[in-house]
Amino acid sequence: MVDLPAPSEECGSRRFSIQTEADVMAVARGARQLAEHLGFSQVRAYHLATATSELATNLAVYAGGGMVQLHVIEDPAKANRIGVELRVEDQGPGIPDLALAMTEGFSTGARLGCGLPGASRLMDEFSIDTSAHQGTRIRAVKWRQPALLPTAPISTEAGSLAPTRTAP
Amino acid sequence: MKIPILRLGRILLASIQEDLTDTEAMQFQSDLVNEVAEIEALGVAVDITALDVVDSYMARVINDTASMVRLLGAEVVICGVQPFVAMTLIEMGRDLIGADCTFNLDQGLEQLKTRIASRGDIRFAGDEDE
Ligand SMILES: Nc1ncnc2c1ncn2[C@@H]1O[C@H](COP(=O)(O)OP(=O)(O)OP(=O)(O)O)[C@@H](O)[C@H]1O
Ligand SMILES: [Mg+2]
Repeated sequence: MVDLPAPSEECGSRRFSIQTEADVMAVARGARQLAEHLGFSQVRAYHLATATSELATNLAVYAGGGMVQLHVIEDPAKANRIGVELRVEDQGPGIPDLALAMTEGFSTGARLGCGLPGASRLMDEFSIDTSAHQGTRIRAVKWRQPALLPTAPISTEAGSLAPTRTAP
Repeated sequence: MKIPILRLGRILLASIQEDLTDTEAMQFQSDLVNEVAEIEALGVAVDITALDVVDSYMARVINDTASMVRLLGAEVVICGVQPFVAMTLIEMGRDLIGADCTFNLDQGLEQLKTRIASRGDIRFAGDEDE
């Protein structure tokens, strides 16, 4: 069994304040380093970092800034299953039509419109709570290993193209 | 941050080290396009090895840059797309990067030379140094 760093609050949590797009890189890098430190495969760490970057960018572009938090969590149902919980919160205008915003290619900012749908695919768990009064709160989790491939270590080379996403 | 553009014969090489802001991206694109026009570049290699994350914003910047270069008639290749980056981009959106990608710079330059050669442009000499 691999030795896990204790997911204590001190080493297991990081907060980032995002005001402009220039703040995004630090949190994406932080997410990637945290995941790699926890023994995530390169691909899974990169998935987390990319999703983090997408959601943090949205904070800067659409919500006038906000907070990103990364927590190391343990699956209460499964011993030794650790993951990174991503919390992204803002007090911006909220997302009026969530289904539309989650559609590939929909953007009110003349961008690609793949941030939200892409991030939700890259993460194992993904939920959004949004309202015009309270802004937008997103919670997402990336587990260190996909649920359906139990103990076998995942190759860090991207040799296998097998899907690594798991059913929720 | 200004992105240096290196010249290897009639190939240009630009290495993006960090996420670019909108302004920096526009500066880079105009620098690159001017340089392509000025030396009548036959190919451009854009190296993204050093980027921490290629998200949809950077993918768009890279794509726009590639289209501009192609409009000027030069070949373009995006280098430094590691397998885990490619896998993530596919998951994000199928056509996120429309240009040809290679794993490293060497392969990128090889690919440019092959493509330029197949265009039958005899002016190109890969080892020419100026
Ligand atoms: N935090 C937020 N607050 C308010 N609106 C948001 C927020 N995040 C996303 N949106 C809205 O949802 C739309 C879709 O977001 P998404 O990230 O998928 O695409 P995008 O940011 O427009 O483009 P891309 O992410 O590909 O650059 C946005 O255009 C915006 O209207
Ligand atoms: Mg976005």
